[in-house]
Amino acid sequence: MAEAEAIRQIQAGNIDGLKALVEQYQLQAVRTAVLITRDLPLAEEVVQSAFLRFYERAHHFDPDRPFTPYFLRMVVNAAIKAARRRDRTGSLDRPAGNGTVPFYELLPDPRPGPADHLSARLLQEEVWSALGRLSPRQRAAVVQRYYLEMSEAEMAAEMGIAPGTVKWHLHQARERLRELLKDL
Amino acid sequence: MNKKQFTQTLKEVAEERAPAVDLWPEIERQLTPRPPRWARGLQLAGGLAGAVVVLVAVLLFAGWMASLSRESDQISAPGPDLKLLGSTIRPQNPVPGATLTVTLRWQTPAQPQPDVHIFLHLLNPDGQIAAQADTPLEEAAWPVPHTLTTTHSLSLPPTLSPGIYTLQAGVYDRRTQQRLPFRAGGERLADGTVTVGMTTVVPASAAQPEGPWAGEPVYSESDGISRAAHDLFQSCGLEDEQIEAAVRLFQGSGTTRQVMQPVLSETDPPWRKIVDVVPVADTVYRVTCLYLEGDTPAPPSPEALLANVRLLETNLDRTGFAPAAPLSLGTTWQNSLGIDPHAGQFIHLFDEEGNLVARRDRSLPFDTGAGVTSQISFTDTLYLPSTLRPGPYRLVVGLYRLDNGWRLPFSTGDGEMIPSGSLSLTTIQVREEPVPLQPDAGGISLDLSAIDQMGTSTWATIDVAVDLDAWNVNPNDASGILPSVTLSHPLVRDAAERQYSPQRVSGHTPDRWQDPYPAEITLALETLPAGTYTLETGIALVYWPAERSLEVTLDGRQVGESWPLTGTVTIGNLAIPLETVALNTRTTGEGEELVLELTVPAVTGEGSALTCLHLEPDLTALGLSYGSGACQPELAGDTISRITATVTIDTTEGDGTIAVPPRVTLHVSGDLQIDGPWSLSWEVPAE
Repeated sequence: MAEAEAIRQIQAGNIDGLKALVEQYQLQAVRTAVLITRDLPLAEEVVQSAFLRFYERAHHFDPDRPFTPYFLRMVVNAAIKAARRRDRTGSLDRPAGNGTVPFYELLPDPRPGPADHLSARLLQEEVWSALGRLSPRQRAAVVQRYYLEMSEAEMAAEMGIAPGTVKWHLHQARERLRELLKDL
Repeated sequence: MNKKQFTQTLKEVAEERAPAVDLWPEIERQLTPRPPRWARGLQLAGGLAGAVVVLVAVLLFAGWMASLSRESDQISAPGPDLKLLGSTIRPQNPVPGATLTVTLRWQTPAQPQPDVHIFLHLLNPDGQIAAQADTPLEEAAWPVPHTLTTTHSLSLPPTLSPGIYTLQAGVYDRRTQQRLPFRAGGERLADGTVTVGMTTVVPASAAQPEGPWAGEPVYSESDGISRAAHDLFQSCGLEDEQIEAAVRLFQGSGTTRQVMQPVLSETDPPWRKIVDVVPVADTVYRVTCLYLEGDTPAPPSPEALLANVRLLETNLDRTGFAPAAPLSLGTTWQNSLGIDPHAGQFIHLFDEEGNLVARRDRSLPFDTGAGVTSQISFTDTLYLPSTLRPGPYRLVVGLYRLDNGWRLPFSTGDGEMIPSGSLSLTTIQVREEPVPLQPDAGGISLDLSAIDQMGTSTWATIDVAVDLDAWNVNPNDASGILPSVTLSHPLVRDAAERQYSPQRVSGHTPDRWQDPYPAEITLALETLPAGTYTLETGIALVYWPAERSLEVTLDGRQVGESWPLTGTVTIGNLAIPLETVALNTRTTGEGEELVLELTVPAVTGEGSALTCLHLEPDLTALGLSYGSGACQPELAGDTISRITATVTIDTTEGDGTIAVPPRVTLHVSGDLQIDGPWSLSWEVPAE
C-alpha cells in the first residue's frame, strides 16, 4: 500500500493503514531507536508509542508529505527522552569548536590498520560500546548522520533546531568517538 | 576506522541488536476496542426485554437503571479527546414507526471544534443501517472540561422488522467528512465508532407502556423538589453531606434534564455521584442514581497505594501565568503495585476562595504485572480561563479512581505521604494579561512572511530579527557557536477569541553572524478558516552570548575547592551576578577530567528570565582539544533558584595526572525567555 494511501486510510479511521505503515517502517525505526536507547525492549516501546501517537494525530498530517522523515523525527526525539529518563546521567551538551571538520577527518588514519585484523563482531562491539559512552543526544546525532545518512541541514530541519546546534552535537560526538575508537 | 567503515559497522550493530521486530500485535491490541462491558449488559437486557415485555416495578427499574448506568460509567476515561461517558435509549422496546430517543453523555476536555457532528446508526441483525441520525455537537463557549448530554431522535421506519438492533455512535468533522477519534471505555476508538447499546424492536401488538412513570409518578413537584430530591438521593445511598450538595445542584438546575457531577470544589467530599433527573411530565420527574456506593471494584488498600504509587517528579513551566495563557505541568508517576489502580491524574487550579477555576484530567495507563514497576510521564497543558482575575491561585495535582472519582492516596518522590490523594503543588501568581507589544519592539522585530494552506494544515512563516546592539551581543567575543531564536508559547486567536496552539514550531537560524540576527520560524496550525488571526508570542533566545567572556583564575586552587566570584556577566538585558565557582574532577571511562562549576542566581527582570547558563572553554588558549559544558538549573519548589553551569576540560597529562591550568577563559551564553508578548495579525482570505 502506498504511504499516502495508508495515511488517508488512517485519517478515515481504518487501522489497516496503520498496519501498513508499521510493517513498512518498524524495523528501521526500531533499529534507529535501539542505537539511541541501547535497549531493545525500550526501543520497541518507543516506536510502538510513536506509531500510536502518529495514529492519534494523523488527522493533522498532510498525506502528501513524506512520512519517513516526520516519523523518524518522532522516534529519535522519543528515544532521546526515553534514554535520558532511563540513564539519568548528566548530559554534556556543549562541544568545543564549530564542528566544521568532516567526521572522517577527525577519525584516525583511514589506511589499513588494526581494525582490519579485528573480526567484524569485535568491531561492532567496540562501536556499540563507544556509542554507550555518548549522551543520548550525541548518540541521536550520530545515528541520524551516519545510520540514517541525513545531512546536517536535514537534521536541523527535521529536529526543528538550528544548524549550528546540530553541528555542536555532531562535533562533540565525533570528538568523543575519535577518542574512544582511536585504537581501531 | 574511516567514515565508510563506521557507517557500515553502525548498520551491522543495528541489525545485530534488532534483527527482527513485529510490533503490530501489541499496537493492534492497544487500538482495538474491547466490546464494552456495558454494551454487553445492554445486549442481555435488550434480549430479555424483547422476550418478556412487562411493566417493571419502580424499584426494580431503578435498580436496573442504576446497574445499567453504573456499567455505562465504567467506560469513562479522561484523555485528550471527546469522551463518551454513557448512554440511555428510550424506549427500550420500540415498535416500528416509533421514535427512538438516545441520550449520550460526553465530556469535552477542550473546546470542541466547529462542525463536529455526532452520528448514530441503528444496525439490523445483518449489519445494515436501518435508521440514522446526525446531530451537531453544539458550538458554545463551554468551560472545559465540560460534561454535556446530547439527545438524538431516530425515526424508525414503519416497515421495520421486529428484532434486536445494534446502535452505534461516532463523531465526524462535517467539513472534511472524516471520522474523528474519541474515547469510550478508557480506549481510543480505532474506527471512530462505538456500540452504545442494543434495542429490541417489538411488534406493535406487543407495545407496552415504558418505564415506572407510566403507572404512577415517581416524585411530583407538589411534594417539593427539595424533599423529593432528598428522598431519592437518600435512596441512592448518598450521605447527608452529599445529599446537601446534590440537592443544591438540583435546585440550581430547575426542571431541565441535568447530569450532575457534584465535585465542584476542593471542599466537596472526595466522591462523585452522577444523578440523572428527567422531567417525564409537567410535574413529574424521574431521578436515577447512576452510581451506587460500594458497587465498584474494591481499590487497592490505602496503605498499598501509599507505599507503591508515587509522584516522582513535577515540572511546572513557570514562564508566566496570564489569562488565556497555557500552563504546562509535567508529571512522572510510578506504580509498583503490580496491578492497575485504575487511576487518573487531575490537575486543579483554585482561586483564593477555593473555587475550582480550571482543571484537567487524564488516565494513567500503567503497565501492570507481578513485580512490574511502571513509570509514566506526561506534560499537560491547562489553558487558564480568559476571565481569570489577577492574583494567587493554588495548583493541585492528585489521583482519583477512574470509575468512581474517589481520591486515591499516593506518596511523593521524597516519601511524603498524601493520604488525601490531593497534593497542593504551589501557588502561582496570575498577572494582568500583558499588553501585546508591537511587532517591532525592544530590539526584536517580527514579520509574517508567508501563510500557506497545505493539506490539512496552515503554515505561518514568521521572520524574527534581533538587534545585536540592543541585546548586548559582541560576536567577536562569542564562541564559535551560533545562537538560535525561537518563539515561546505562541498562541493564535481568531476574532472570536478561539485559540489555536501550533502543532509544530520549527526554525532556521543563519550559519554566520548577522546584525540584526535573523530566524525564520514556521508554525504549523490546523486549517484556519477565512478570517482575522492574531499571534501572540514570547521569544526565546537560546545560547545567547554574554557581552564578554569570563576569565577564571585557577592558579593556586586545589581540586575540591570552591570560592566566591565577584562581578557580573551581561546576557541580553540581564546582568547576572556571579556567585561561586568550584573546581572538581569527574571520572570517565578514560580517566579523570577537570570540572569547573559556576553558580549564579536565577535572574529575572524587564520581562526576561534566565533559564540556563552555558560555558565553553577557550581551548585554543589552553592548548587543549576537548571540553564540554552542561547547564543544571536548581529548583526551589517549582521556581529556578540558581543555575550551575558546568564545564569539563580534559587536562590529563601523559602520566594520567590532571593538570590545573593557571586560568581558563570561558565563553558564556545563556537561554533567555522573554515574555513579550509580541503581537502579529494577519488575514486568511476566503478561497
